Amino acid sequence: MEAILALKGVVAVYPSGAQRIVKAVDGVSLTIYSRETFGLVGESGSGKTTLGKIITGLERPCRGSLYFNGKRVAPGMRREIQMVFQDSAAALNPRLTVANLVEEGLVIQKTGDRAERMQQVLKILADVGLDRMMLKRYPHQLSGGQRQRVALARTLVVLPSVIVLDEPVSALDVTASARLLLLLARLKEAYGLSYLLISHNLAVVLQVCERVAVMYLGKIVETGRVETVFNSPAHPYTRLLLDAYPHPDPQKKIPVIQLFEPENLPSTASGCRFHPRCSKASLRCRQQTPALAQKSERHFVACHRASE
Amino acid sequence: MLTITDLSVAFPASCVQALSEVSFFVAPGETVGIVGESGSGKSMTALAIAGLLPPVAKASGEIRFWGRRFVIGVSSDSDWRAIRGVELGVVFQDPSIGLNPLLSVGSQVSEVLRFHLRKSKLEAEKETVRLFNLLGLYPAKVRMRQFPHQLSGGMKQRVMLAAAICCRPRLLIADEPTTALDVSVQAQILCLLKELTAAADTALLLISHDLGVIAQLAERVLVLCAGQLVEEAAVAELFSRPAHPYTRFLLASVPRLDLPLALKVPAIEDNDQLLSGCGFASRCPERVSKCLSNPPLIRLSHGRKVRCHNRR
Amino acid sequence: MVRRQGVELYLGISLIIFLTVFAVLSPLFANYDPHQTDAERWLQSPGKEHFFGTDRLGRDIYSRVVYGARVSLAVGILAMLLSITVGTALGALAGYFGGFADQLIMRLTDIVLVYPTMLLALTLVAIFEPAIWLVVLVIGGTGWPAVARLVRGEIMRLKNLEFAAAARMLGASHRRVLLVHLLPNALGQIVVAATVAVPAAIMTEAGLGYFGLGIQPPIPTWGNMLREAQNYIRHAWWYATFPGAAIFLTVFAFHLTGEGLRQRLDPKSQSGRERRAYDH
Repeated sequence: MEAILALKGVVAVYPSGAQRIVKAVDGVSLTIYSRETFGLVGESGSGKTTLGKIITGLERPCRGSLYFNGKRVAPGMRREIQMVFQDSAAALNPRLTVANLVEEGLVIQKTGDRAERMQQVLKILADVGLDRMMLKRYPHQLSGGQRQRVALARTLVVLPSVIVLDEPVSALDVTASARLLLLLARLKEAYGLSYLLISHNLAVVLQVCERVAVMYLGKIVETGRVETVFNSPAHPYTRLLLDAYPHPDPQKKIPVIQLFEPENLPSTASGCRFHPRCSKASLRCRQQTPALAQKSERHFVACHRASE
Repeated sequence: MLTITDLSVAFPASCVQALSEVSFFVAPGETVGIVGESGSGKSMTALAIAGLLPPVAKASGEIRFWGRRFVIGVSSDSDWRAIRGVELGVVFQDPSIGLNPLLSVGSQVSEVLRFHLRKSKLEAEKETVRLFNLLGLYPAKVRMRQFPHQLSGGMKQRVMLAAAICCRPRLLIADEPTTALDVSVQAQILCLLKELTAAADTALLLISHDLGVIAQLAERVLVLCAGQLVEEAAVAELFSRPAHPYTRFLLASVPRLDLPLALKVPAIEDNDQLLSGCGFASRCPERVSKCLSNPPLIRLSHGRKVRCHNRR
Repeated sequence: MVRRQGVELYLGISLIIFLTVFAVLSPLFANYDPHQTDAERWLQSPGKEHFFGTDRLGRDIYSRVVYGARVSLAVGILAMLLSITVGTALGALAGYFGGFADQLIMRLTDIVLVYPTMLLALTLVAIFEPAIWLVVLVIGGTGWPAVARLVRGEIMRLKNLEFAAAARMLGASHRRVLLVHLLPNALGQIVVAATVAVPAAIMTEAGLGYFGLGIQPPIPTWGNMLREAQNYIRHAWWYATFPGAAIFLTVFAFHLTGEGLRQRLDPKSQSGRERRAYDH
């Protein structure tokens, strides 16, 4: 398998309050292979969206390097890497029609004349499952699912190789989100895409991703093949997320989960960042930060007690 | 306890029938779930029961709540105000809309107690501390003095919950209470809802598009599709033997951790509903010609109803 | 409640056309020479001969209001065009690029904002003769900072929305992001500012005239007519009422047009209002 995108030791900070700085992303390395769907899960504040913005060039890392197609590249925007945002209403210019919105990438690249461009717009709209009746509509006249398809079509016209999907279905209801997930799988085949799917919903990641990384407070705590990570989670945080998932089955109830707020937690300057929430935390967990270590084949965990 | 008869809501300006003749009941202490897609009318049901329908809506129907009778479109806002907050608590999806950004969260909860239960300032504050501790807003005395922007989404939702239950309502309406939250926080809120309603014997009307959330809490489920009640069943039966194709469609849409996504959809689907007939007919894989006329709601067995021509 | 879309717009535009026709074809509508004094008939109340009465020199107020429309409307519209063009351009650049450009432009607006209009007018009049173009320059040249601040704030808000980022990612140039994505979304605000600027300019012209810095009598403008009338307000109600009514009508016409345009330019206002009510 050939790596299309790689990050090495990426750090991103932002100021918070008077003197504090927060490391939103703290030394993250990951590789996305060609035609792969890579999932990034974690709670809000885990740094997963910041990581997505670094990949697309919307934000700059303060340390670390990016590799694209095997070559080291400067951080910045490029045509080959596009992004679909969580809030489709904010990501589409409310004054443009669907036709103008989808056409924009072609206009910028100065491809063909208007008739040729419209032909391509129609083809891509059909690919994302939208009727040509939609051409003249404005974003507010569409449902959330339709808007997200328009956002996808907009990125597809410039023929990207990687699309970062930032919580693409979290604003949609179940049926619209299921349809979008199926569409994403179909488009991946048709356009030869690789995805980085950012989501807090583990079941969504499980349905569409091949590999997954679990992030907690800026660090990757577990990564590996989706089946491995979800069937035999090695990090207590992964286990917590899996336990918390509400199964659509009245027989499987969520166990009672301790109430912890990240804001309540004492400063985690030393040791594993998860130790204040971890029931198995030992003295070592409080003092020493665990590194990402191989547990089994292509399964990496950052936990001192993973091997027990 | 709560009985709703022939509730209809329409928006004449945009020619939309949001709800048509929905009838159901909620028994004391019971948890009833309402599921449906966005636009199915589930939020309108919540607004109608709380008397908070937008003024452009044209609504009819009758609500009986613990012996009181409300006729929608006739009863005035002051009638609703007598029960809202006291006997009826409401929690909405977005907690930041319900909180005043300029007041501390503690004062917003104790204000409710002072207004409705005529408690003294000191009593109200003591009660608020108790509630904050109960809901895990530690340390309660510090949290009370904080402002909404200093709290996370999950904490704000717990403050809203505190304000909704502080007067020990007989019925709590929760409209997508966890949709905007992380999974772990969602699990906490769901556990809290379960504990609180069980402890105070409060009935809960839980509205969500997520069947996973419904499965966790509800005892009985109502399925809404295009403004109509299409299925009603006890939770175990609904998930093991869904009778309406729309319910099966919803179940197939939920991403699961144990099974692959079972949904089958055409390449281009049209979302336009048919003008007459069953609200799901345009998307139904089991559609027959009869479906162009609206099927009646048929009672299958005790407490089980379905609205489909083609039932098995 | 169903409100007819666009009624305001049509009414406003009709009124503006009506006023413009009067201004352009004033010789056809006026029944007297606006400069013709009549020592016998000063301060006559409105009647058959003089529809709006006469002023302190016996001139026909109706004819003066009609001729006054020429100058007042021209000054108002030209000054508005000047301040909107300069203000939008500078405000958009400051808001979009931020940093040094923003600092520079904002300090410039501060300077212009604190520099008194009257002082600028005095300086210019000292150099040149009072003329219409000078009045337009003074009013437009002091009016743009308010527009620049408004546009800057709006562009700063809009550029942080995701659609601007999405366009950048597709490879859009700064020019394209500004012209296609940001400015059209600020258009509603700009149009409102423009319709407020016209009556404001008409009033400022009247103020300048007070110090002899505006359009000089005997050329009638609504502003200088009002000024003349203020000493007679107790004895001759018609003297101030009719030029005042003309100004009011203009303000009203531009206000209606602005409100109508703002609604028309907002794609959401066509049918969105009720839809959002249930679409949660």
